[in-house]
Amino acid sequence: MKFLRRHLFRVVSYAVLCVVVRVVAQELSVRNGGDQLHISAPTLHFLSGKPLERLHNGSIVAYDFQLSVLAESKTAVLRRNFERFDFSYDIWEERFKVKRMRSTQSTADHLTAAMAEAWCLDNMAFPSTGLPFDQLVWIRLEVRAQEAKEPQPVPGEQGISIASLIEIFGRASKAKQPQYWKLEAGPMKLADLRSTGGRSAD
Amino acid sequence: MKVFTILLLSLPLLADTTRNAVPSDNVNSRYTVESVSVTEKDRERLSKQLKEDMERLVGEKFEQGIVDNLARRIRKELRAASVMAKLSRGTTPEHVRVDFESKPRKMEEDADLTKFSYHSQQGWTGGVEMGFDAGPARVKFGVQSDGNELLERYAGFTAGVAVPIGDRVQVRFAVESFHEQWNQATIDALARNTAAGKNDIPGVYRTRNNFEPAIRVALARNLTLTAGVSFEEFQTQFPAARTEGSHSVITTLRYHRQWADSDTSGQELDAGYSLRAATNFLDSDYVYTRHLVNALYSRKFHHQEVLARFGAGSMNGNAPLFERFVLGNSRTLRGWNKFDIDPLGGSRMIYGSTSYRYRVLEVFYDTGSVWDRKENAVVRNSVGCSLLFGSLRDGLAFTVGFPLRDGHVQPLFIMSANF
Repeated sequence: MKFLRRHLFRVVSYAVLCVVVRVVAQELSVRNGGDQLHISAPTLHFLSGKPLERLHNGSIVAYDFQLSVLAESKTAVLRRNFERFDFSYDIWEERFKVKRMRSTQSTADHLTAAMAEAWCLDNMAFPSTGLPFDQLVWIRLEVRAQEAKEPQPVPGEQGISIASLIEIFGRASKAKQPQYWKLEAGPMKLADLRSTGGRSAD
Repeated sequence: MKVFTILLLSLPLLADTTRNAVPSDNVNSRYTVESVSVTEKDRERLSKQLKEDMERLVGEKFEQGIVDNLARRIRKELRAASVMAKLSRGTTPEHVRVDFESKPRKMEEDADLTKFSYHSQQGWTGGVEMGFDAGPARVKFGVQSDGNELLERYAGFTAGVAVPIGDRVQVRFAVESFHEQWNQATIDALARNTAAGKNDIPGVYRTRNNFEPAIRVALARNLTLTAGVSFEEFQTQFPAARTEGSHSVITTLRYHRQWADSDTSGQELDAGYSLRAATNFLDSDYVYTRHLVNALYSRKFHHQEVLARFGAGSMNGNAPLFERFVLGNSRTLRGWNKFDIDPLGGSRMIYGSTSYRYRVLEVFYDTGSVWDRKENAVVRNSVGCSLLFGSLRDGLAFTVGFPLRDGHVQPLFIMSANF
């Protein structure tokens, strides 16, 4: 009975995890350009859904990117690169402007959606020096669109009202909103990438 | 994964700081604001200052930070769940329109503490009301125990539904059911009254139920008229338990207006007239008319506030005890005990109060009289001070009231939350 309960718990947990972490099965290509690893994901379109709607309404939408090199078991992270990109959408020209926020700030504008997405991935490259070239590794890309700012408690409203609690718990699950994307490539040897001068490792 | 999650959670803080530090990364900041709008319904509820600040954006370059700040202020004033600024093309090139769209709360009023007070000689009073929307209708449920407002302590539940019909009309149904407790002073006074051969004041009752359908019409922007009927049934306690009814026509005319000079300054005027007329036509065991006028004016100027209240009432005929006027509770003649003034209340009443607040300190002067038709009115006065959190109208007050009378001075302590 205890085993059954535990097993059931695992199944439910996995199901919840699958819902919470929406894994988008799309292609991630990795290539080695000199001392840097470059990625591309032609089928990944994160400019969509609610974030795109907010952009079309004239708001700035921030996207957080994480590119990780994982050991074969996927449990150890060998290297990680974070970046944030602020997007805005030109109401008149119907083009995107992207600004890289964390490392050296750079900007690109007059971009179509596809160009803006590609520009972000181009700017996620990181040095390959120090990585184990002869071991099997995984490359993982995670993208998350920041939600619009949560409504703060209004000044002058005392305490937490039942309405505010309902507002908080009644919001649609973030997992159900297509604002998180995850792509993986591997297992592969980085040496193979170098020897071939870059290849797609899907 | 955990590290990434933590970093993702912390990045918004970094980003917000960055966004506030720089003028704007929004590509639309090069465009000029052509117009700023909210819905007409929302606009009526916004302060003059906020509307002026919105108008000030017109002709300026679009600035994300300023627009976000305005959205926050609109949300605060509308008490909305969220307010979103939507940008769209203007009618001329290089111009944009800013439209603020509000989303109302799912439960606009939620659970409200409708009354709360402690009177050192009358005990506790409290009431909670919960409301929710069911389609266009607004449904409310409440429980309360009130030993402050009337001669009796009544405890029980209230329920009501309000259905709007168009923009100006609202149909309401209210149900109340209470159990009563009586102060010994009232019971003794009734016994003396009966012994003296006077039967003009009916006896006490143990339960009271009320059903009240009404219709409210907005006659003008600040003027409303409520008309309906009240079917009040109560079970008498003496000399024998039986059910009696007090069925009356009710009418209330109310004027309410606010002038907001800024977020911290403004004026408010609230005045009303109520008529309850119980008639045989509605199969009532009691026949009477009850008139009540009241008015309130407040002027707020930054940390200072002045509030003046006035009330007067008159009643003719044979009315049950819950209709009789009472002074000397947590709101009127503060410092006096209603059972010391008149344990049976009165059929006439006049009352006035002036309060001044500076920051959290309030001082007040109350005056008033409650009497019966064939008696002479005795005017009573009281002064006092309060430690006040909030405003004179909507605040939590810890009050010490001193009745002004010859002989000994016996201050009363009152804690009250005004709503």
